Amino acid sequence: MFLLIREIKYFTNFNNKMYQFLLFFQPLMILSIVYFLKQVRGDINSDKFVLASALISMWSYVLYSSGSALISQKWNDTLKLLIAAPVSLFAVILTKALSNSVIALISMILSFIYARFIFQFNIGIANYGYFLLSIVVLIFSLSVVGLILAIVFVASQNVFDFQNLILTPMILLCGVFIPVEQFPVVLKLIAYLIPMTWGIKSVQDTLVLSPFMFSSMAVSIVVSLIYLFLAYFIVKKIEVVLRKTGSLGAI
Amino acid sequence: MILINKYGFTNLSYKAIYSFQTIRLFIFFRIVDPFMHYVFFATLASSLVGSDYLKYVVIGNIAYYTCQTIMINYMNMFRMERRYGTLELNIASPTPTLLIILRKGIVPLLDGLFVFIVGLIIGAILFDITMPSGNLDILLLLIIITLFSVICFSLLFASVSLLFSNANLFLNLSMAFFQVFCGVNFSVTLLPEPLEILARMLPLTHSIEALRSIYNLENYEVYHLLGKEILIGVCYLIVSVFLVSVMEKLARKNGALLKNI
Amino acid sequence: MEKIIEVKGLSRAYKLKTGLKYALDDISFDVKKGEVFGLLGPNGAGKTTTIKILTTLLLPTAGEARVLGYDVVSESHMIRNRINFVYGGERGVYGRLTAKEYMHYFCTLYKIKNKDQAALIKDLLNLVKLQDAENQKIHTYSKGMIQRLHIARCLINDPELLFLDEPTIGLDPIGAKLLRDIVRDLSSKGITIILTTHYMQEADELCDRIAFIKGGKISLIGDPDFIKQSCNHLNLYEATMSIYDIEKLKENNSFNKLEIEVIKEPYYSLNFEVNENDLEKVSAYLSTFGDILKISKRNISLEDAYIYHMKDVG
Ligand SMILES: Nc1ncnc2c1ncn2[C@@H]1O[C@H](COP(=O)(O)OP(=O)(O)O)[C@@H](O)[C@H]1O
Ligand SMILES: [Mg+2]
Repeated sequence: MFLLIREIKYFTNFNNKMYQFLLFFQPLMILSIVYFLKQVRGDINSDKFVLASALISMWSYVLYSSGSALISQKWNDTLKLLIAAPVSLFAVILTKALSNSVIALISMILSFIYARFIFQFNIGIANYGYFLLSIVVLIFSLSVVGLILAIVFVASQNVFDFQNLILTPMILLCGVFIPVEQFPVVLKLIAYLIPMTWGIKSVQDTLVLSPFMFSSMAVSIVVSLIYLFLAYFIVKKIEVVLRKTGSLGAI
Repeated sequence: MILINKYGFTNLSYKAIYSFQTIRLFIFFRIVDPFMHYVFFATLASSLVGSDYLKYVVIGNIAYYTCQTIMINYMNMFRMERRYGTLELNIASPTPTLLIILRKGIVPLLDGLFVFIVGLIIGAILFDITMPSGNLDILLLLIIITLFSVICFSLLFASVSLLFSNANLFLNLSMAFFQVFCGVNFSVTLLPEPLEILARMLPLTHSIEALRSIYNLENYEVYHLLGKEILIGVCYLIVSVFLVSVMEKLARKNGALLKNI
Repeated sequence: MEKIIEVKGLSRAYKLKTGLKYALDDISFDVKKGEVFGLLGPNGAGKTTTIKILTTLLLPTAGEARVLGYDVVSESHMIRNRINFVYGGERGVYGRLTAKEYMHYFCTLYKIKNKDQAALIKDLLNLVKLQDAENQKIHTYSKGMIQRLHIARCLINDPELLFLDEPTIGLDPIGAKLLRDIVRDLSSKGITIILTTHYMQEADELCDRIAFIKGGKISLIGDPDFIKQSCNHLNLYEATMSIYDIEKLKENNSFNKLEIEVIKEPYYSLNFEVNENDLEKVSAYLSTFGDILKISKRNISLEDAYIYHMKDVG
């Protein structure tokens, strides 16, 4: 936990212009579009879209920051130091992923604030306790996805070039707009394999106090845990390779 | 076809500092990425107001994505110049800075042209947005005029990037602004009065209305809109020409040309 | 002789959070047509700033500079086509281009007619001995090759005046020599050259006149001999001798700038400065530490002068 706080304080570069945009302005943009589109047809349930705007911004932040967290360290050549230090690589990557998703919360909070005070949307959170709980579940699933991303990006610079390309498909796939249940079977299967899908479902279910909300949360946690273990073993493997070759290129 | 001079300035500029060099990147970022972009906003809009609205949004985003391509890549060229430390070498040459900037603009302009056409093809094939026959000449005219006004506007950014080594936030904000205020996803007539006036001063707004009219999704006087779009482009061009010399002077004054990233 | 550069009271300040920082503080000098003029000084002295102002890329905050008779502030367009510059290091190239393409790019910027470009580029690449690598991508080049490519680039517009800012920095001895030969060659063709370097040997070899600059001020200016003579009051000696108690010698503080190098115990080679110009007396005093094999007064090198004049710089 200490590491996490330090991480947020020292390693998050709020001066990074891309991050500023993602955290602070992207929700504003999406909400504006929603606001004006709402005028085309009045009877729109805006809750869903406020949440969507929050989720989009959170996910983009996690994608860019987790993607570049380790990459920038690789460039800074500090990775070697990390390996030499007593903290394990896994702990380092995990805290990064965690801290990134916690910071991503800023954009969720901002989305709600913008929605309430600028656009005058009503946000019907039925039960704040459950809602917070579902947010925690969401953060966990986001962190795990961030963790996986970080590992993939470190392993292959090629994939890093393409990080833009998974931005929107993930949003669509995870049921931010269209419920996953309505997908064709193949897409449904893929969607259910992504921890974020479940995290998002938990939050959506909790907003309307659906009877499935606890099971969604439970599934989300289980799926995330599976990935977490998977990531753990992969990172251990990476560590071994790193110690042997002293570089990441070999992976 | 344009005759490509192997050692021509445009070709070398492209090779030296443009972001997309391989066929693979080109396919991903000029076909797949715009497609994703269209799908994203189509989904957003149609889940809000219904699927009959889908074509309307996709058309708007085809024009928007063209604009985004031109602006981002144009700016990026100057970022690359800084990264390589070649910006000052360019500026120090006897070729006027404005001319250098303009000539470098040809690459993103061609890129934008490609994206626009591919966008319309994607629209036709995957979103079933077909153009009434007989409008091809007007469409071509519209594409040219849109590219013109967008590049004139992008010149503003190019000149600003002489002074600021990282204008990315500014660029991102402008792109978000365009997304909301240029009638990309909804008609600008929905905007409150003062905002609509503002929207009508931006490039793209009239083009998008004209494009939709060509595709029979809206009913406006196309030539009238295109005339306005040209006028707007010319205004930005004049401002940019002025701004380039101001920015160059300022950059010399505070040493910004020499700042590398 | 005709003055090609005239600098009067030139200053350049940078705004920092802590206040104004003067990178150049009221400097004045002239450069004559055809000479090789060296600007020498420690890092941060203001050499690059001077060059950037003279190449019209940076405006001074006070004072005046004229290059080829034109004012650097208001008549930069008259200057740009007749000068060129090279900044040392590996920056300033497009790694993805080949040397030939790079040269074509700048030929276009320097308004060389299309049909003349190929021949000019061939000549220039030959001159800097890059003809064999002309179709190689620049990112595969060594530092020395990049530096020579820069020289080729800066000759595109057949400049009358060249600015070379640390052109030999980071080059191996052969690369540096190749570059020095090129500079000498250019100078013999009548091109005026402003050179900065940290290698005193190089400056001594190439420069007709030298300015020492430190902390944004010029402290001394003149030809290399004049600069060395400015240190004539220094009595530098070199000696080879056997020493039995080296610690005693080291603790003795009548020697300034004592440099001791062991040849083979107990034989040492010494370099020092003392306040005594009589070789006999020095020799007699030194023999109290051991047996002298050889002792002589040493000529003052540019490096000695440099160290003497820069001694109070951090
Ligand atoms: N853009 C700048 N902003 C602030 N200070 C600067 C800038 N450029 C140079 N300086 C300062 O000006 C001084 C002179 O720099 P420079 O001319 O590069 O020295 P030199 O080339 O002799 O090593 C240095 O102290 C440097 O820190
Ligand atoms: Mg310097």
